[in-house]
Amino acid sequence: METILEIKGLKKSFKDFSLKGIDITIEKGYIMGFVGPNGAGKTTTIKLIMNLMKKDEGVIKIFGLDNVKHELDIKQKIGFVYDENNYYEELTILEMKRVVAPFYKTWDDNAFNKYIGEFRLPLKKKIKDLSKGMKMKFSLTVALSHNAQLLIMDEPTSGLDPLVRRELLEILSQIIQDENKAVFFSTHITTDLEKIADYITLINDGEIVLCSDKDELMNNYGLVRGGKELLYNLNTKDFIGIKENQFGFEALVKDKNQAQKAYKDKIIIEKPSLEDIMLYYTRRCQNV
Amino acid sequence: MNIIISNQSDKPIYEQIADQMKNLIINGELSESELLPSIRNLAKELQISVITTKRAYEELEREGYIVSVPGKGSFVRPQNKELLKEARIRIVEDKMAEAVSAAKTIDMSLEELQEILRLLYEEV
Amino acid sequence: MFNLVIKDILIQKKQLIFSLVYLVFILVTFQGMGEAMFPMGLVAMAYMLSMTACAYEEKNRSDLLLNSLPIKRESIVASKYLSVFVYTLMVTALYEAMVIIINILNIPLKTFPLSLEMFIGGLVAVCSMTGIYFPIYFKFGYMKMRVANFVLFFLFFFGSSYMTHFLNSNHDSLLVNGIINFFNTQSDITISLVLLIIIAVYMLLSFLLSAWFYNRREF
Repeated sequence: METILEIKGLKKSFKDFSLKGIDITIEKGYIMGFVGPNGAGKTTTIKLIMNLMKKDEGVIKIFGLDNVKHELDIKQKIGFVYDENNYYEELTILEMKRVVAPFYKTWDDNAFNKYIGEFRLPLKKKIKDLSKGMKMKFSLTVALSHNAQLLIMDEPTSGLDPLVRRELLEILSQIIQDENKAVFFSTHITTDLEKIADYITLINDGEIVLCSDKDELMNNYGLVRGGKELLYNLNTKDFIGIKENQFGFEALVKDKNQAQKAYKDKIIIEKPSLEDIMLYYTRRCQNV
Repeated sequence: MNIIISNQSDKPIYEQIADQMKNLIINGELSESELLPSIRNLAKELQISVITTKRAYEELEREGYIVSVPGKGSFVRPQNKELLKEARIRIVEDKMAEAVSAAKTIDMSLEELQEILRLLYEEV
Repeated sequence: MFNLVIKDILIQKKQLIFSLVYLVFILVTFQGMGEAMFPMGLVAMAYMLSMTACAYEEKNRSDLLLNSLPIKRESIVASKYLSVFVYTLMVTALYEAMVIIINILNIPLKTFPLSLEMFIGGLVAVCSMTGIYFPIYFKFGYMKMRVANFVLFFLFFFGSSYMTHFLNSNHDSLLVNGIINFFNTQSDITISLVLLIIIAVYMLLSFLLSAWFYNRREF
């Protein structure tokens, strides 16, 4: 398998926040979901990848090349979609395309027109007159019109209705039909990723707390509920984040089969959602 | 060919896919040497991760139901006729066992059951 | 890079129409200024257009967009400098066209057809302003630059009156004498050429400074 994005020991400090040496690897042909609460460091990581910010320490390699030294070559092959529209609101879609297209050596007008049609985007409308969903679709269209190998998306679905979000996911699974491409998708709306992501990286307070193949996560982890008396005589190490209430507790376990064996019918085990996993992990970090 | 997956089920999705494919192969709905959908296409259609479909195919391959040829795709493996027949006989046995237990709950005699079976066999 | 200049013009369609009206206004009301009306109008308009372009960059947060595209940061900076010259040429062409129209239609207005001195004078004025503004813009962004603008405007205003005062009272100083002598004795072409070279070097330094600042910016 070939690596398309490799981040090692990435550090960046601000006054009130810092990335504490994070590692991320994305292989060709897969979708990586980058999950975490707001302010966890998702956007900072993406800005460092795009060289919009300067890293303090660490290595970022895209297509095997250093992201600063080979910035322009790399950006030729990156498509990006950010959470807010950054295209010129005063221009029409067509004008904006004419400004952006010449920068890409491999700009593909056919692909552009195909997506414009598919998304029913009005070419002559000014960008400020588009809905939020349409702005995202326009960003996506530009990102997909120059044969990008790596698609970087920072909260592309925030503020969008479920219909548009579903449409985006369908497009992503279409893109990944080409096994040379990869998608790096940051979001705090985990249901978007529950379906299509291949890998999940969870970031909290500037640290990677979890990085795993999504299936493994969903199949092995369990949401456990039981009576409070269990808490006192059981090994709480098995649990990730425990939430107590008046009548019992709820916790996350890494290995639901083992938990089942250990506690038999004293507990109820359910399949957790990605959101459950995210919440329990970030809660644990807060406890420490 | 139908593959229906459930997100609520306790059974991992890759297992659901593998089991359903096995049935399709045993039932003969997927014939020998037939090209299966690619892992990426299957993932797209079912809106699931590529890793899931990949794992399902790996399991099918390990158990000898399919072969994967790099660059060409995955095919239904030409089955050992004896084995396949045995598998089919097992299905018949299972269904008959069901019928027998249903008969027993209403105290149907063996003769009566055999008579029904004979009639059905001639009819179909 | 040139499509970034075109982009700046495209987003300012409204301002361009406004600048046409403004030019007519200058031609009519600044009759008493004589040839100085051209550099005045040019500075006002080139300044307005380049500042508006910067304001739109800020409003659209387009630094994120531009720096995510495969564009060198130097090119982004250079396009802003280039656009100033494009505005200068546009305004110059418009001015000359209006002068011609006024003469053809026999409108009773005094006109001052473009001369080399007028053009060079305008260019020097435009460049000396933008050469200072742009490094501030690329270092601090548009909002902070507006504050700096205000300060600079007064510095210019009082600075120039101080300069005249200084020149008048220091007639004997060697340097001042030399400069005055130079302007009095050399031909217009030589003076223009020297001014052009000074402006070119000045703008180059300003550009290098802007690029150095912009390369260190984080978004």
